[in-house]
Amino acid sequence: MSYDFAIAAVVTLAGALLAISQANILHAVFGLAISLVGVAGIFFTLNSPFVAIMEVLIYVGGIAVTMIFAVMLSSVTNPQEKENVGRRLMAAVAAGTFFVGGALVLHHAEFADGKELLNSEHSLQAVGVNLLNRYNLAFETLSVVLLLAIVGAIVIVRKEPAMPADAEEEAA
Amino acid sequence: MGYFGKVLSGFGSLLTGMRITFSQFAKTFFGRKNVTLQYPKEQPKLAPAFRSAIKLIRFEETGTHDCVACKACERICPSYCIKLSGGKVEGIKKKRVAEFEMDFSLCSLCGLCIDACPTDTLEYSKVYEEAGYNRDWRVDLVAEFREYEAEFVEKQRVIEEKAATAKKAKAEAAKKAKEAKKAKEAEKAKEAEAEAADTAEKPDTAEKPPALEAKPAKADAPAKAEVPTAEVPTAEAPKS
Amino acid sequence: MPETLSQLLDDSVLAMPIAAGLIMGALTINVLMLVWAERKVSAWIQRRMGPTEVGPFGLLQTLADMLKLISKQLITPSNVDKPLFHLAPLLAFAPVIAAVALMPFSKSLILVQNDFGLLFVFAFGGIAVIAIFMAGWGSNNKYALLGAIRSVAQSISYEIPLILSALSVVLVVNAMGFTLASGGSIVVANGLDLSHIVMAQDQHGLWFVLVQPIAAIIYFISALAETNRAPFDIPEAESELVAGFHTEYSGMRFSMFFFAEYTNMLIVSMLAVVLFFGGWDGPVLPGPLWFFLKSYMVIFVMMWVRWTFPRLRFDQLMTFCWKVMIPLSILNLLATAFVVAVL
Repeated sequence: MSYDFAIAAVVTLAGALLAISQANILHAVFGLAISLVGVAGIFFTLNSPFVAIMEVLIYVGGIAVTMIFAVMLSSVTNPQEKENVGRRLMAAVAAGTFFVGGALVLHHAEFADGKELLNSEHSLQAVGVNLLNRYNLAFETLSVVLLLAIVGAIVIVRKEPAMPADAEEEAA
Repeated sequence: MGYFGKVLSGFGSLLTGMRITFSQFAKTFFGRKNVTLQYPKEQPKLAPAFRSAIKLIRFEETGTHDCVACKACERICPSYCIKLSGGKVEGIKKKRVAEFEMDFSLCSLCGLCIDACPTDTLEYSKVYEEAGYNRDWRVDLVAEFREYEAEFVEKQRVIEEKAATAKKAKAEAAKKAKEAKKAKEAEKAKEAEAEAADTAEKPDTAEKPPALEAKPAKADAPAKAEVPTAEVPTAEAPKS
Repeated sequence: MPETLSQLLDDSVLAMPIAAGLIMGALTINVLMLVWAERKVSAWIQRRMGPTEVGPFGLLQTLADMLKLISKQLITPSNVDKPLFHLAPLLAFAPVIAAVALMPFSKSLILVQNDFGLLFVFAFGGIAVIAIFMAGWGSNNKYALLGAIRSVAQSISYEIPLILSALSVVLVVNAMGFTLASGGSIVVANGLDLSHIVMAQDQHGLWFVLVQPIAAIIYFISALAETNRAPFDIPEAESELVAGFHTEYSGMRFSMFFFAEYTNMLIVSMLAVVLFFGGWDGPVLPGPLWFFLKSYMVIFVMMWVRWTFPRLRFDQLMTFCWKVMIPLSILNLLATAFVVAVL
């Protein structure tokens, strides 16, 4: 474990903490963005710069920005009302279950040898070829889901008057 | 013109705009021609007809102005911005202005005073960077001419004296000529009278009158040339 | 002799700070010169003289301005969102420096060699977008917020045609390939590597502006919008929004945004040179000189455009992006892919 991994991990955790602890939603979103940059750093230390860049390009530059847009336009940035304890508990249980389940899956999954992957040439090309051959169905399904999301966003916005530009932002 | 035609023509108009701005850029960058005047370092070239506060003309011949304090300007001024005083000066016949007060804050630059001036000694100055701390803009236009006034008076006195003597001489000459004529006539009469009696010194007296008349004519010429000094320079006066 | 500067610096512990200091120094000088150039170009286009008083040809005018900005008070308005307000200038400033480090100034002068340099540059642009948001929101000012929203909407919209036009060049590079001068062996070109893009152009003696003219035009227009420059300077439309997202910033914080803006100009034009104008490729003069010469030519055109055209309206801007630029760039990409696949 090198010191750059440590830095990336600390940034990730700090961002995640910010994201869940801040009362101000916008601060939380910025925390999430920081966390995502940290994740990109982790990918970097794992010698997969392409995934790292995609993390920044899509999650930070695209999704986080879209979230900020949504928060800004919804004008609910600082909710003062207290949520009830039951709902919080349920949320905690759900999140915990998801975390434990994910951890279990990861623990039992069989990964290929990391060193072999690192040394292979043109791993990006392999990703592309696999994506459009072996995992074509999953890839196309995801595309359809995204397309549905875009169309749905447009439909929802179209019911209200004006603001076509925002729908286009969602699409972006 | 379809959609793409419009796109093309729009692109063309963009290029036209860029060509225009570049030509201006090139004119300043390569041609070194810009419209900026670096004001305190460069002075603007004023138009010949530029109008600013009036001033008195300094004639080269006399070294000073030719204001005779006639008050024509003061009378004609529609905004009452001129106040002048002056008059007879000791030693010379010509009247001179003593104070020429001009209030530039009232002046509308109409130029009537310039037209009215009988000696043509007023003109527009080219002063354009006037600024001050209050509204008092009364300026004595004669102020800058004061030091030359004594000199001018002296010169003028000489000129007038000369003119006077010339006039005297002329008058005397005329008188003499008259007397000579009278004498001649008298002589003629005498001669006619005495013709019958005898013939005396006739050619000697006949030659004298023209010689006497030639002298005053010569003395008259320089005097005449100096009297209209005020009129000669006005033709080329607006030079500063 | 190490092949790249990064290899030379790899051995030293001080490599990072030294490189960062060098880049920042160079960028500061660049920004000073660019602001001066902008003022001069605008003056010359309008038949004026521009700054002439401080230093020869007014060259030191911007230095004086910078000193003034540094010495000014940093005003933090009341009711601002303090952490965001303070963080935003730094966040706008940092990615810009990082992006410059990726540029291949010549075959051997590359500060950071990376296989995905092109994507890195775009990714850093994404971080800058967040910074603009932080500034706009944190200022607690309606003009700043509106300016930020416009700026971000514009940035992420025009990022799409920008990336798509760059991708069509990537396709061409991948298809062409090239031989490395040293070994003479054919290397499968990686179109996402900035130096590979230049090398492909260098070896085929063909600038990609000739191969991809439509992509070049789309790239240039998108770059203008991406850097928020006229005629797409709607986020800073002073007649409507005072100064956009940096309305509330003063002194050095303001100048950091300014710095980021002008360095962004440099990055975008450097990328244009890499993608379309053959990078360091050129006769007689050394590579880095050609690279900067071309970059500054592109910047000159950007200034020229700025002082020629009036500002667009916001809806015109978005319509233009989504209805013209994006379809056109997708069509161009598809056509390129088709040609590459067939050949």
